[in-house]
Amino acid sequence: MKGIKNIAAFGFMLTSVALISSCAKLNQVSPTAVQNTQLFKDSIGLSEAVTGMYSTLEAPEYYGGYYPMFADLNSDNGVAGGYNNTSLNEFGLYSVTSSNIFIQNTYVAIYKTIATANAVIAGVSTVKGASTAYLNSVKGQALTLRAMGHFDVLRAFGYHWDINSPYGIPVVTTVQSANSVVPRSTVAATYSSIIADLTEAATLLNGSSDRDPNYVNPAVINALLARVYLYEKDYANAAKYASLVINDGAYQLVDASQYVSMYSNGAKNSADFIFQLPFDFQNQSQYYATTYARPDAASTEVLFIANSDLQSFFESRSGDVRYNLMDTANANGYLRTLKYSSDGKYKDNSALLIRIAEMYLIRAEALGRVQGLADLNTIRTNRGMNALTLADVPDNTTYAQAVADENRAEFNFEGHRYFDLARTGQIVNVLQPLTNVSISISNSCYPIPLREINASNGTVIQNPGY
Amino acid sequence: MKITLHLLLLLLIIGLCSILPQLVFAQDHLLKGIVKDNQGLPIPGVSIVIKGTNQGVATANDGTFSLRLSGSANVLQVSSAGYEKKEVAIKGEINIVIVLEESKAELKEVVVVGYGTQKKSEVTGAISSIKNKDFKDQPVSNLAASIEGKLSGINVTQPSGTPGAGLLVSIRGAQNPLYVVDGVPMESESNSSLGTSYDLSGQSVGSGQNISSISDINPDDIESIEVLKDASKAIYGSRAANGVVLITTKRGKAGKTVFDFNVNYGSQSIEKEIPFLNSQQFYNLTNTAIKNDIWVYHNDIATNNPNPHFSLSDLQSVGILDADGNLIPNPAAPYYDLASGINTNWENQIFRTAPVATYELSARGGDEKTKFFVGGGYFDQEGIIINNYYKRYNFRTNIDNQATDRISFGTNISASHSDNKRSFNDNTYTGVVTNALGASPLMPVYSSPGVYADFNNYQAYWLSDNPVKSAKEINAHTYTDRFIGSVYGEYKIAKDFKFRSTWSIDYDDVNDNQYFSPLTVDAQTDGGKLLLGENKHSTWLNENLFTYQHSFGKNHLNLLGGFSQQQTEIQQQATKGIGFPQTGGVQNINNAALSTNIPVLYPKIYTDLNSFISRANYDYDNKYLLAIIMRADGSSKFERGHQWGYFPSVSAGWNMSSESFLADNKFIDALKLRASYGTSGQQDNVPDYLNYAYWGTAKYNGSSGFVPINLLSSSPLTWQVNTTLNVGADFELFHHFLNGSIEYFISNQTRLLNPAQVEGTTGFQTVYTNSGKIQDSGLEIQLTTNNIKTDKFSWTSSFNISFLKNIVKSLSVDNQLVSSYTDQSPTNILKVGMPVGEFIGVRFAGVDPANGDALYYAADGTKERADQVNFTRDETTIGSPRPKFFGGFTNNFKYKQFDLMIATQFSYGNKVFNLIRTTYESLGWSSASTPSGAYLGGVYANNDTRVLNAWSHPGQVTDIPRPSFLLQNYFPNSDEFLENGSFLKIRTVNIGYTIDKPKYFSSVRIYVQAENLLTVTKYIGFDPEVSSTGGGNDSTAGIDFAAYPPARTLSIGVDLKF
Repeated sequence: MKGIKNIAAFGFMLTSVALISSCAKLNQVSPTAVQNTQLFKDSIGLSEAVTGMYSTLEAPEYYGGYYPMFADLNSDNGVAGGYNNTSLNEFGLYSVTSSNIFIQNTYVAIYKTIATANAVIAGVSTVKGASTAYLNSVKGQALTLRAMGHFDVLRAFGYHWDINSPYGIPVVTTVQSANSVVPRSTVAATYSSIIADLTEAATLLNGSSDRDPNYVNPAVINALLARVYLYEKDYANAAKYASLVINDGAYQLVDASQYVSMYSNGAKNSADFIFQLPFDFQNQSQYYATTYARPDAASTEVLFIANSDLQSFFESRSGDVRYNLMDTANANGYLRTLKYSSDGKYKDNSALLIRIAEMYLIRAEALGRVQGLADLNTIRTNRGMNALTLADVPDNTTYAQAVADENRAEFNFEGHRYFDLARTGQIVNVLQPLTNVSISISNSCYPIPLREINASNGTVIQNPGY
Repeated sequence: MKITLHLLLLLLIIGLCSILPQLVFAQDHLLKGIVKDNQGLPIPGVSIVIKGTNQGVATANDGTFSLRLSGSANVLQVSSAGYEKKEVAIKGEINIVIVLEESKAELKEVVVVGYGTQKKSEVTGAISSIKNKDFKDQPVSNLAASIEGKLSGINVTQPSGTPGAGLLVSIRGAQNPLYVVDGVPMESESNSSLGTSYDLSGQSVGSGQNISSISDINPDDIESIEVLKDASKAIYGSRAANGVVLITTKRGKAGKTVFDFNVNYGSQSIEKEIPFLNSQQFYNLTNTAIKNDIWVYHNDIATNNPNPHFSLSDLQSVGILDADGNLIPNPAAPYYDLASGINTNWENQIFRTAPVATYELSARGGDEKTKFFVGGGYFDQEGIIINNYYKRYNFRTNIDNQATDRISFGTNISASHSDNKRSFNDNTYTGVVTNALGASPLMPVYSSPGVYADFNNYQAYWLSDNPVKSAKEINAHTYTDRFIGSVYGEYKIAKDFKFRSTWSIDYDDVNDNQYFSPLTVDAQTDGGKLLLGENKHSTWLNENLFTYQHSFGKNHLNLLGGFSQQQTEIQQQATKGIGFPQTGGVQNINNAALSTNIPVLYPKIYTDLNSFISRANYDYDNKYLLAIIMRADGSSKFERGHQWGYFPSVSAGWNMSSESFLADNKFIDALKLRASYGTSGQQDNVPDYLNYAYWGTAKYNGSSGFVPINLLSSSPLTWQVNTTLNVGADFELFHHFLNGSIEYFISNQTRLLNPAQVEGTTGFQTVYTNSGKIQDSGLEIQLTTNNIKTDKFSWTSSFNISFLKNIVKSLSVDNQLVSSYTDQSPTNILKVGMPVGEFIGVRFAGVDPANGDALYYAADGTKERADQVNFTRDETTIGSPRPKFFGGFTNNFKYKQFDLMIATQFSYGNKVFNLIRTTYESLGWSSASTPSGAYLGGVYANNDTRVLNAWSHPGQVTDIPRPSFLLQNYFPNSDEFLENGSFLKIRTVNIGYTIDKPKYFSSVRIYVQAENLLTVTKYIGFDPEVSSTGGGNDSTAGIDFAAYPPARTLSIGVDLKF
């Protein structure tokens, strides 16, 4: 009996020892992720990487909400709400500092899109068995998003208004490793890289009849080119590409009766939209929560409050249907936009990146007072306003103001205002009266986040004045 | 019945002994006796030897013995491990009761050292040890609370008073030690699968609350806790860098089965309330702020201020001055309905007096072959905030069996289930407590019966909801099921040579369930919202160890060698549902109108760890001690070629008191010098799968795809390595009057596994790297004195103090700013030359007596107003959350049957960033970020009564700035809100009475107990023991965003043994 027990014990011992040889091989692979090499083998993997690339645009810090909303908060359109958050208040006072938590996150979020686009571009060359047309389409989309990412960084963090300035942004066109550091390019070099990407993309997508506003297509590329050329002050090209989009035929400017309803039901669909990002219940955007919150919200619940200056602006524009998208009768003593007040249940309001109205206004600005007035009036008359005559805008200054006003009325709380003010050199004029903090030209863009300066050991340099 | 019989027998024996005179018997006679401890319980296995002979016996299981004596006078030498040796003179008695005192000689205690035990006199490492008797009877759910203030080098703080919440355990400055329960390393970090801090849009912004999984261990099951602090922890190799806490649970003892029933019932209440302004004072504050603004406006003109505070148009647009610049009388009056007579004290509305109860029943016993401990407990704690509680059911069975001479086996099994109904968004800016601090006293709880008042209608825009509504209409439950079980078999291969194999499982299933009713602000537009999350974690572990123990002459050798393998599997999932029916309170996900899963970053994880373990202990004559440890660990977390880490350590000791030159020293009872040097590692703090670049889940427009998740570090990751040098001395002096130990150590954490900042142009903020170095050093003293010891009265004192220094030696990127919440400005910095988690902020320069402005130092040293501060330019380091020294002082008294224990804990020099004070000392500010945005009906928050002493007239010297309605006359991220967090706490007072020779029971003790009786501190908030992260992250410790305050508990209890 005892012998048997001893044998049993010995067997137990042997089993335990034997297990060491069969034990886990210390080679675990995540069951929920895929490796680079797996992904870029065929067109299926490639298309899944493309899906991922678009998803990076929807990060809360980028077009998920914060990037466009900060451009309104940091202007005469917005006031900081929220619970006395120092970083948010800095936008509200037009004096963002380099340790601001939000610009830090937004900067990286945009470069995430660029990094993903670069990985997709690199992946195109390793994919086997896909048609050239498909590979071209993927590469064209990736180049476009890379260009848009660079442009969005440039207009937020670089001296985009001054083509001669050295303060462009780091232009990243290759797959990066952990210790890669890219110094800032000049503004001119940044623009030429953006335009080169867009031009190549246009060639690659040439002939495509696809106009799905949720994805990059030839019209999106042309629209981006129009916008970039306008910022670069290459007015001939800006007008040229704006015309291409306007004459594309796929888009239709909504009229005054439909303008407000364009934003209802989460702004999912309109012939006005050239490029929009769809959200859904699982993947919500931040627009509803940060600009509206709920019907009875207190001012602290809304992060991006509307400025009373925007209200007085609209009060001076009789008949403008766009004023209807401001909540002026709020019992809690503040103003807010109603553009994202629909779909409170799903909170999936679309990000409106490019609308056809912008093309008219780009062309109006690019063509100048005489030729451009017609485009300006197209917008005005479709918004319940009367058409202007040349006598109403007697000189270039008044005309420029009329275009700027039209942009403000059309695109408030769609992420244009701060960039437009900087682009047209109006930052000091417009913002100084609204704050005690002293505003200078250096406030025309945000500082490069401090962590970038630190992490690059000074290779990435700070903007002047910060 | 049998018990009564035994008792009677016992009494009979005692009676006989006292009645019978000392009779002289014949020369040869039989002595019968029993050996008991000082509680009257029999001690088996006691060696009884007749002095001068080698004749002797051992006591049986019931403590009895019989011995044949010759001659009329004999001396018996009575000895047993753990008891004082005793010599008993026998002059012809035939029956005797011998009472052994538990050994008081500290150095003779046995301590657990990891994969075995050692006598304390043989230990060569720095190990702190605490026994059950020093922490029993405390009505606490978490074992870490049991060691608070009692062990040197170990700083335990309570970051939140939430029932069942985790504690912050820092061993020699490093947080999150490895917990090992009866040899099973357990999952111990916060493992809630949902965030516990949300912003208004429902995004998780951090974890204000720590759901601690060590709460699954019932403190009452614990026999002893040992903490490995120096190179001795190398035996746990790769996971031991932050220290190892060894928990040994109670095991069976041969002898009569002892039942133990312990019940404790207590009442908890908040220790301290913050006094707030009443309705009239609240209104007055706003009025004062408005009047001050008008005065400032005129004063700016009068003094020709080049930087006026605001313009006439600001005052006009707000409605303070009319179009002609004339005063509008009482402009804010319409918004303050003083006539309503409402004066709500919100702290009284959310806090309550709440019961806490513990019930424990256990049985331990066995015979020579089989020993067992079986216990069960129920812990039921209501929170001191309304509508939350923590309930835990737990069971434990420990069995050991000696099957044959060679074979033994056994099992340890513990299971628990808990339901933690926690306080939503604890220590976050939208939580229940945060809402209550600053709520308007003019707001009623209910505007009409059954209808919660809408905070929008009553000022105080700080609120995110009616505090009582938040507490009652958000049901946040965390359910935990925990199973830790192991079986072992031991086989004696030869004399001195054993093999032991252990298999164990640690299974932990955490279910979070947060329901927001449609009445809440959070779910108003959703029609009710439910967030579900599950985190399932299971680890199996197999250990196989050979031990060899041999003595030759005065040489003693003890060898241990073996290997272990373990695999961990983690599963996470989360679901969200909205739109719930309003009938019957159905809050099941199936009832949601719409539900979806919430993608999690790591839904499924596997980790492997293989290890080789070896240790050699050698001593010569118990005088010269040497221990060598070598452990090798391989982890699947790292790339091939970088998976294995080797962790050697060596330590030596010298029992000086055994040397002849000290043998006759009158003052020194025992003295040991020791030194150790060794390494240990860390890998638990990095996520899995960092050894290759991969893409994880992403969704766009109804399609599923992949997005880059992991960027590879430029050099492959491997173990973090800590090296620790420790020198120490253990001593026992003056005839056992004083014993203690003193330690000095330097510990370097090198190749830190931490997320290092990389350029954002990579698309990533951080990448895990082995970079940076942190040094901890310190001096620890632990002393115990036996002040008075007489038959009736005894008094012992224990004191410990630790001076720890933490300094960052190098970093991959210097000057990293850290935010405590992902949407808040940075509050801390990682900077070379500073301790980890140093606070940053703007320096407060006091209040300008001329006009009451809060002034701050700009970077150039000049003083500026709050609205002129440029945070990035002006911020600087302002203090550290780490104490300069901390410790505890415990006194035990015993008088006849009474006993008294008073335990205190202290901490000196630690700072706390009281960020919630920026709300409740907002000085009548309107909440608008710009002066012109102020709204008369939207004052930010009610204030505490301290603001009654705010600046009120020119020339007044005060440190509380002028109330201002239009301007925020303070800068939140400044050291104006950084407070001295030093404290002295009377942590525990326990008074007990043991009934002498009770009927039916072997022992009855009745006690009353007070926890957190008194805190002496200058801290303005509830309690200085706070942390933004509840223990997870030491780089953002010490942020107070209105954490759940700790409770003062008064309880009574009974401990019955039978």
